[in-house]
Amino acid sequence: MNKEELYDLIERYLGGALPDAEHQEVERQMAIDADFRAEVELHRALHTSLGDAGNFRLRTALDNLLSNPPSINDASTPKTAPPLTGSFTWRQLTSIAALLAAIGFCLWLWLAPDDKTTRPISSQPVQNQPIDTASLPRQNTPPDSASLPSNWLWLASDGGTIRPIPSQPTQNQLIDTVPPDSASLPARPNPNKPIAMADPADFAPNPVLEAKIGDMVRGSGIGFELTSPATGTSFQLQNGQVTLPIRGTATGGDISADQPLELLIYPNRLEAWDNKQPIATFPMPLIRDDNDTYRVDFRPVFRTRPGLYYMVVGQRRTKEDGDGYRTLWVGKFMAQPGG
Amino acid sequence: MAQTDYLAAILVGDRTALEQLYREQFPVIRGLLRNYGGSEMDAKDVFQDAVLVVYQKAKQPDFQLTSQFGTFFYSVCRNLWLSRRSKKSASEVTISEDAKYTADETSSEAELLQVERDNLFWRAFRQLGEDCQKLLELFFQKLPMETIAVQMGFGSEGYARRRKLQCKDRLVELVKSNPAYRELIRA
Repeated sequence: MNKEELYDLIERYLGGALPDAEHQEVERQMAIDADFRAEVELHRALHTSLGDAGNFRLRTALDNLLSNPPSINDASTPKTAPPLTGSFTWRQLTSIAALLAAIGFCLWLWLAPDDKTTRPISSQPVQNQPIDTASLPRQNTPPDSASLPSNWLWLASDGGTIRPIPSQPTQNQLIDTVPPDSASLPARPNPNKPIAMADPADFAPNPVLEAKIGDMVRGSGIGFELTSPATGTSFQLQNGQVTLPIRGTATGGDISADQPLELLIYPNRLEAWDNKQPIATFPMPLIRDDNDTYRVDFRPVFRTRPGLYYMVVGQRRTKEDGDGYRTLWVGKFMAQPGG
Repeated sequence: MAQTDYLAAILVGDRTALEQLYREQFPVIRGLLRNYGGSEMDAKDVFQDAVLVVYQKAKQPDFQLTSQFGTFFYSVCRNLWLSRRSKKSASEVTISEDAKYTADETSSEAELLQVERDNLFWRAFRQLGEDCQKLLELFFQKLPMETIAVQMGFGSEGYARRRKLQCKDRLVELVKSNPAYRELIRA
């Protein structure tokens, strides 16, 4: 049997076009000849895969998309400008846009609260009650913000003043996220915009982790104490992101490279902890003070949604010790709706 | 875009919606993989394969999304990456409990294998010449040979059959010559 005959036979078999006797003969042959069976299965798989018009269309679209991916720094900006309609020219539209921007700026100056009302991020624990959005702290955008790139974020520094940082992560600002609920986030927070409602269920305490808060495991291994942020601190989301000012001390001996300390962020859901599924994991950069003490001081940034979260400092176990993490410290914080 | 829109968009291969999905999810996936030692290229592969896994799932008539699309998509990506890394590093790297792959409702081992196999076929298909790709696309869509001959501008149905045989044979050889083929056939 030449290749043309072989392919024709297989195609007619797969298409159900063979007479019964020939159909049975093909199946008998498949049962005793592994190479023939493999050939038939390959053709079957090819027909199934490439004959799926939806799969074909999707793969073509993905090829096109990934060979020329869109910029991801301007998520809110359409890739191509909408076509002009009517008799406006670009010059006229630019003038109108500039006029609207000037009016908007004047309105902002008029409506914005006085600088003295700007409050730093709270360092006091908050209760696990449904959020009273009216009482949440707000931040002002300084008046010169219009001159900054749109992909900069506004975050409060430790001292309560406001300073911009680039939204791109630096070495100590790895981003690991759960996806935001909304399709796209505003490029810059608007302090005058109404605050989005949060889901009270996202703020319900996790009893298992609550029982571990503040635990500092001592004994033969490393101990860790997180001094910042204070457990229960509330942070406002900025463009859907939260920055944690992490400071702490590890004591008790050498920390080897194969047993690093990591900060794991868990949502309040029981199953997240039970299944060991943190929403973010950050390696902890350690500064050695002396033989037995290390300091940690870094500011991880990650994207998330409003809710109660738990900061778990863990030390990776070696394979011999059964993998996973040894929990050293547990704290919590709230991510509150923000700009 | 609402979660159901993304499922519909994936089912019809809507380029605009896929672009929006990419803008929203790619930074998330890249951040996830960065934490697990993956590269930008790995993130693109995982994004693409996750879309294809979602397609396989969305085709099933009883499939229902029980979470936000973004959450679901994130889980698919995470499972894809951990599954690959587990296979690759079974004897090389220690994998923590947190980072171990476990099949769940977001992506079964069978679905991941299906995507791997389809990738193999698709890459081989894309190596064919343009006319072969077009001819086989029509052939796999079960169009009659006489229609294919007309659409391809061939002089006769007989020539279309011979050309189809050549193209398909080339495709089969390309698939078989890929080292991943034997492994996938065994799986």
